[in-house]
Amino acid sequence: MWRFRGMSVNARRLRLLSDHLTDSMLAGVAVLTGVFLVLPTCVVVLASFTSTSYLSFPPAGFSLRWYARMMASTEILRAAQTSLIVAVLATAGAVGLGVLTAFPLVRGRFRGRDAVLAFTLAPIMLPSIVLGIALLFFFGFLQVRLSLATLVLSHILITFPYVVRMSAAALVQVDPALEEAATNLGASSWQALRHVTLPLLAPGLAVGAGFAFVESFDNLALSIFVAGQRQETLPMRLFQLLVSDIDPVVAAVSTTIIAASFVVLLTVHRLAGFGQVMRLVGERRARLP
Amino acid sequence: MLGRSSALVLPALVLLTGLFVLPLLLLAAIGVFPVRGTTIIWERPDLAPYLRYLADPFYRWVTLRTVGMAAAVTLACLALGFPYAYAFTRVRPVWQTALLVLVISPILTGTVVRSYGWLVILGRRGLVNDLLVGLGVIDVPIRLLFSMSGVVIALTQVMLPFMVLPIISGLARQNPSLYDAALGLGASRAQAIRHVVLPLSLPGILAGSVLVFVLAFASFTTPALVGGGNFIILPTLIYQQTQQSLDWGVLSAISFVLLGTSMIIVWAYSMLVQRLGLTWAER
Repeated sequence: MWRFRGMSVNARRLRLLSDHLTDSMLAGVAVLTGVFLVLPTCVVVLASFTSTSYLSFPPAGFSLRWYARMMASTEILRAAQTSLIVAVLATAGAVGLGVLTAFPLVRGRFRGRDAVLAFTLAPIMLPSIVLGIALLFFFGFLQVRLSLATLVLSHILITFPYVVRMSAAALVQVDPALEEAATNLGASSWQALRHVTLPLLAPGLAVGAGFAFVESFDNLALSIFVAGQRQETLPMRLFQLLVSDIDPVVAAVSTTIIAASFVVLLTVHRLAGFGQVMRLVGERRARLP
Repeated sequence: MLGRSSALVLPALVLLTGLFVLPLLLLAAIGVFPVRGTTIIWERPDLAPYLRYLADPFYRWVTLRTVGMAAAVTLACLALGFPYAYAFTRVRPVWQTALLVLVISPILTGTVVRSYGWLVILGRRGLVNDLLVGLGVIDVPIRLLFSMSGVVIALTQVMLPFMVLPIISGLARQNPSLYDAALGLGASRAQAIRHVVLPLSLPGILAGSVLVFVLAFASFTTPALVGGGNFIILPTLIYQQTQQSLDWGVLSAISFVLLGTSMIIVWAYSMLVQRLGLTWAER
């Protein structure tokens, strides 16, 4: 009898069949998982163009009425403005503080350096809700009025660790000899930093800053505790709209946010490459408490 | 070398002390010392709030439900994530990029936006119910929103990247010819997966599971929107209590139960990693 790898022809047929079955089952689950992953996003985008006065899926007709409604809603626009202001301020603060902290953590040789590094990353290891309630009580006990300042400072607290990680990782790659060369050629320390080191850190910083921005813009669990009454952010506004009723205007806002986050993503991609985009996403894994 | 001075870490230390250490210490103190108004009475520490928490059947039920929900999300992520990660290792680089973009897409859309999509899909007149009723599988719409199943479905989508990415990065570090060798030596696909791929992805699976469990356990936005006021878990309980109750002690106790559980799980994980000698496991 003809044999292949010690198997009879029938056994081999059976093997091929079972292999085929294994492959198709796994491929099937993978494809379904892919659909599962993008389904909510697609549904939101499509539903935002519905022409009905209630939320419908599949959308009935095509209209931009919900986008018009969005642009006419002062509450939503004000919330978006607040979110942008908070995210810009928090990102600026996080980048400044993060870079400042990353330098001694990478280049310094002082006692307790590892402890400081671990300490720096602690805020992102803590569940946001726990940090939020702790800050709420803290501000309450100190009788600090919740304001833009408390909101921005809290956002800096949870975003600067990402900048520290990203810029520290980038700084390790920078050869100090380049700075020495610059200084030997007559550059001041500031000039060396400005024209040699910082440009080399730029890709890592761009990712860190992009991440800080997204993290701040998207934050809900912390903001609801530390924002003042006049600082309702966009996630807080959307949350309120959804808790009471499923308002189709949220679909329009969501689609706008999705489009904007793709622009951010493409910008990071252009500035730093796909690897850095992945890294940006992978950084979320640092959230392990 | 520029920027070597340790003094540069001072601003960060000030921020961390002022807005992280002190608030957490205060939160801990509120749980063990009596509070009157906005002053803590620093005498006779006791665990009364923790006992109040334990004595309340509703709190106990919510705690158990939170553990059950996080476990269900972890299992669902594993069931979907492993085939996905395996498929990733078997396709060409172009498709790998596509699969990566797909798996990280939930992270890129905002937290509220993701939950909103699920509200539309799982609602009484949502996609799933319309489909099932249309196909004649069910007569009346089933209740998916504001229930355990809805929250688990929505959270699984949100948490999948945290399961898939560790498994992929674990598998990518393995020699791909090990799998081919198993096939060459006469193993069937199923056997090769069972005896080669699965054991090799164990560190990734372990890391992903811990990550998913802990993140799901502490998640707020998705359970708050998809679960609503009907399906309360510990993080949404904390928020709800700040809106209505003035029992600060119990709030502190709930927060530390949430924190403590996460820490115990991560600690158990790192012990397990050490015991099994999975040194190349994802942290």
